[in-house]
Amino acid sequence: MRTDDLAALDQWYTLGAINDFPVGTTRPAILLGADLSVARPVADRFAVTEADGAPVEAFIEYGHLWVTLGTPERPLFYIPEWREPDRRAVYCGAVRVRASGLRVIENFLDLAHFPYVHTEILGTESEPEVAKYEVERRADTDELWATKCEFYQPKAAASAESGQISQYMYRVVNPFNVMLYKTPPTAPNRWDVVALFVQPVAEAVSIGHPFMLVIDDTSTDAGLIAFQQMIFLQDKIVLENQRPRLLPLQPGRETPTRGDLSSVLYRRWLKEKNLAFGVEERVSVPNA
Amino acid sequence: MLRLHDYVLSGSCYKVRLLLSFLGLAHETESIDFHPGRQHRKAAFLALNPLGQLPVLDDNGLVLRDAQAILCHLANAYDPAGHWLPRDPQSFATIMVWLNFAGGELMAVSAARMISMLNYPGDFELQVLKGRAALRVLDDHLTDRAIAGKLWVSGDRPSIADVALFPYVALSHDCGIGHEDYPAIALWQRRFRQLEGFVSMPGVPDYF
Amino acid sequence: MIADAGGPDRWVAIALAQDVPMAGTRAILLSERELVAWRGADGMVRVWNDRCPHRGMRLSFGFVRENVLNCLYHGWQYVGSGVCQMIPAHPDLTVPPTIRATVFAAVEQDGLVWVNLSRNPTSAPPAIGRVATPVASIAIDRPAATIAADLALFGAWPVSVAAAPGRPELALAMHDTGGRAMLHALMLGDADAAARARAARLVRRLRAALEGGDESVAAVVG
Repeated sequence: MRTDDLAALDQWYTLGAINDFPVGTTRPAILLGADLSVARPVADRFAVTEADGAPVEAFIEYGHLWVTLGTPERPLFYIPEWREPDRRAVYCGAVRVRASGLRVIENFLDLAHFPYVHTEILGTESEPEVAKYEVERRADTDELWATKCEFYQPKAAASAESGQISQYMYRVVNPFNVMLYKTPPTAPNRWDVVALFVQPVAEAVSIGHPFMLVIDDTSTDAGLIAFQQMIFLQDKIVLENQRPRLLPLQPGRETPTRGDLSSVLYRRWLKEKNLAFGVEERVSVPNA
Repeated sequence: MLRLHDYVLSGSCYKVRLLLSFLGLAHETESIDFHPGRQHRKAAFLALNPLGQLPVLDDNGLVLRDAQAILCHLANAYDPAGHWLPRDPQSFATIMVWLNFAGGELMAVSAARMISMLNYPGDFELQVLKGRAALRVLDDHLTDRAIAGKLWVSGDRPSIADVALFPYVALSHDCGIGHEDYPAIALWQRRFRQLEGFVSMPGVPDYF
Repeated sequence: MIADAGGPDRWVAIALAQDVPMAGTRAILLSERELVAWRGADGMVRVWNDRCPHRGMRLSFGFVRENVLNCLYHGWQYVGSGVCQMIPAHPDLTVPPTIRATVFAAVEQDGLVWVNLSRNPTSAPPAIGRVATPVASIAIDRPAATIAADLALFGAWPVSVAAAPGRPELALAMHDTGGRAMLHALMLGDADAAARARAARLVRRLRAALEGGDESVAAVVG
């Protein structure tokens, strides 16, 4: 059933990379509980409709199909790196996760799990400390940013041949869309962009659309995709086993630490927006 | 040189990756863009395997498909001590039964996983039911083995039957099937993860 | 931290002791509640809510080193009392004692793991009173109440199934897994492997009977 949560409806969401919708086909999609139909009669035209035939506002950007079921306050977020000619755009494939999209976003922002979930890749047990970083909410764009994040990584990316201290920045552009900027192993003075566009299907079911804009001359597409999918699937087993399934915003339900500044800010931001979809309803009976 | 056409998220490829590691066999890996690229359905790959499936193993020109067949070949060609595929009639037969089960009934877990994760067409509830039924059969067998003081599916050592069974047992969580109902399986898979040469894959937690 | 209200003051057998591995975890579903049973290197069994207070990750996916249960997500370390002793992301932080897992009273007795969800358990688990050899723990695809009725059992577990020609004497315990149940079977007295194997086959016949197969429950254990 289509949600009536306005905070969720009034946002931009992707239904996938344009290649997920072959030319000449009509494919179903579900967004926020609403059954949609995506028709692509010719290469550069998409027609998205709801179950009752009502048209859905849709357009193409960053190689993805974007829609809204409501009236977003702002146009789609801007990714300047999209225009850089020496970047590779990598579409890593939609993966469904049985978890709230908000849990998926929060996991993406988290550094402390690198040594345990992405062992000997994005982190190692002997270097688990999360150093202080900075978070801010940028009022002009209503985006959350975490900057000056650092972490030692044995294999930071597909092209990495040795360990490095990766610099990270995180950017949450709306409740269900996030990207990070990190040091490319072969171009230490620039940033790779790794985005995760989340399509909330039901409150505890989401589809992740990972997307990258990277500086990499050596890896094959298959190699880059395999690396990203490996990371995402390592997270999936965690995401699907967090309880409660819906994100708790009530104080005391979970326990953040200093290293969780991003997630604390993210949850406060969601609360201010009165977001309900994917959020745990207020618990009156105590229950761990 | 052994060359494995592989996909990082494939449980079937994982069967081969496991045995290659247990046997300590050097090999090259070619990453196939299974998703979203569907490279395994394109002409170049179909020339290698007309079934359009992974894994494919190229052993110096001998091109093999089917994870179970590949396990048999690797054990046959590269394990002179015969540990992974003993030839005495009873062990051989028992291993064949479970090897075929791993590539047969247990693959309902793979189907459920593909439907759930990658939006493959299919009846998710039905595949979960079939997967659970298969896990029950395996749990019963492992219960009997444990009562007889045995740790593995056949014989006194792990065999290619254990290798073929492990991935879709371990990946059952990916489609929402936990191991709460299968206590013998839970103990067996833990033992399997402690084997020397064990390698993990996404969805199979590294720690235990 | 919002505390768990707990459950009724009643002991429930939730596993065969042999099924909770040394230095390992076992996930157990009790009605709608997810529990983790685990043993440290000291062999003591503990039963907690299957949930790390940090970000709610199920502790049953975690790993045990020495007598410490580590959460898989961020490696938070929990000692036997349930208290978190260390947070790897902040190695110099003294962890506030309020950060703790929810712990329940657990007893290993007669080859079974018993748990009491009450905040103040007053009783002790029922004893079988004789030597019991574990046979198997199997899932039955029927609601616990139906199984209890089919086995004509009300009140305390474990119940005994009397011996008969060709049939060993069994003790059975059961716990509700929320719509289904786990049956825990033991043989009374010492039993060799052959006897246990026969008992395991009998328990599977019982499973089939309880699930509506062609043999009746009475035919199997009556």
